[in-house]
Amino acid sequence: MNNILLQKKIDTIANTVIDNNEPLLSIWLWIALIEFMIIVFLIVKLKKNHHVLKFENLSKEKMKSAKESEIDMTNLMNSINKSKELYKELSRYCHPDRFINTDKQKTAEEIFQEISKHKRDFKKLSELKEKAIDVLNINFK
Amino acid sequence: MKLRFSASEHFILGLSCHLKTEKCAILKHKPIIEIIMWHKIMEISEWFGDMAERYRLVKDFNKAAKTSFILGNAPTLLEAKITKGDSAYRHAFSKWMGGGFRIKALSGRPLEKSELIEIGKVVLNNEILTRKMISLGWDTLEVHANQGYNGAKWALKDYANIGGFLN
Repeated sequence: MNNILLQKKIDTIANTVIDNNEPLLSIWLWIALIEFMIIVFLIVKLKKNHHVLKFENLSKEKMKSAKESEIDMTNLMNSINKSKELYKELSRYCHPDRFINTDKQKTAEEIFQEISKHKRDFKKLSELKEKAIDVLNINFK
Repeated sequence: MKLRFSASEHFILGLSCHLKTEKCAILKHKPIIEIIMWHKIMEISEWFGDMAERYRLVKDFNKAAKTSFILGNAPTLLEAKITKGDSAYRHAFSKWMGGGFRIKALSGRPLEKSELIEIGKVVLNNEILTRKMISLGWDTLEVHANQGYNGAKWALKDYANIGGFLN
């Protein structure tokens, strides 16, 4: 009988010890987790600082002038939809091979270079078409 | 304690000293706090200005695309919107969660690769537009159709060397 009572007492003491240890363990677990998170954050920050992004050394004046520039959206839309056809037409009619051994050969070469340079700019291509009509006497159909 | 100021802060400091007609007040704390506050206010107003400019650019693009489609110049209607972008294409001015400029072609059919590339190249070959997009915080240009799974994207920073944008 005495042994049974003693065993019960030991059990209750052990339970109370475990109950007392539980919150203590969880606090240490949380502290360890927070420390781990801080370490991870510092490592990430350190790595990020070493990574140099492009345009970091660009001056503010250049940025400001770029921001304030006006965009010709109508020309952009025309370039998306029509520049390819116009470029094909111009490169066919203004090709320097059509003006070999003539006084217009050099002008044709210059115009053709300009056409190749601005192949996706509808406004510029239209101007070059006008120039080709005036200077090279080309009749576009 | 040594204090470091940028060029604009030096200018404001000089101006405040001149206006107050005192001996230089650089090392006094009160004007410095005022200046830092003023600088922060300027930064915040600049940020709002940038955001307004971004939305204005998208709005202008959509308006021009709509007009072009209605007039019959464009076979497909284009629509631009701001997206998250690609984090691999980031640069110093990239906007957080808003670095993508997406052009959607409402064609009703899947566009071919060459068609997608053509639309993208026209935008990228426009030097002024590319610079403006970079300065306003875009880093990725995306083009896709409203049908199909094809799409194309470019890093704007790769197309900024034209015209000496970089030092």
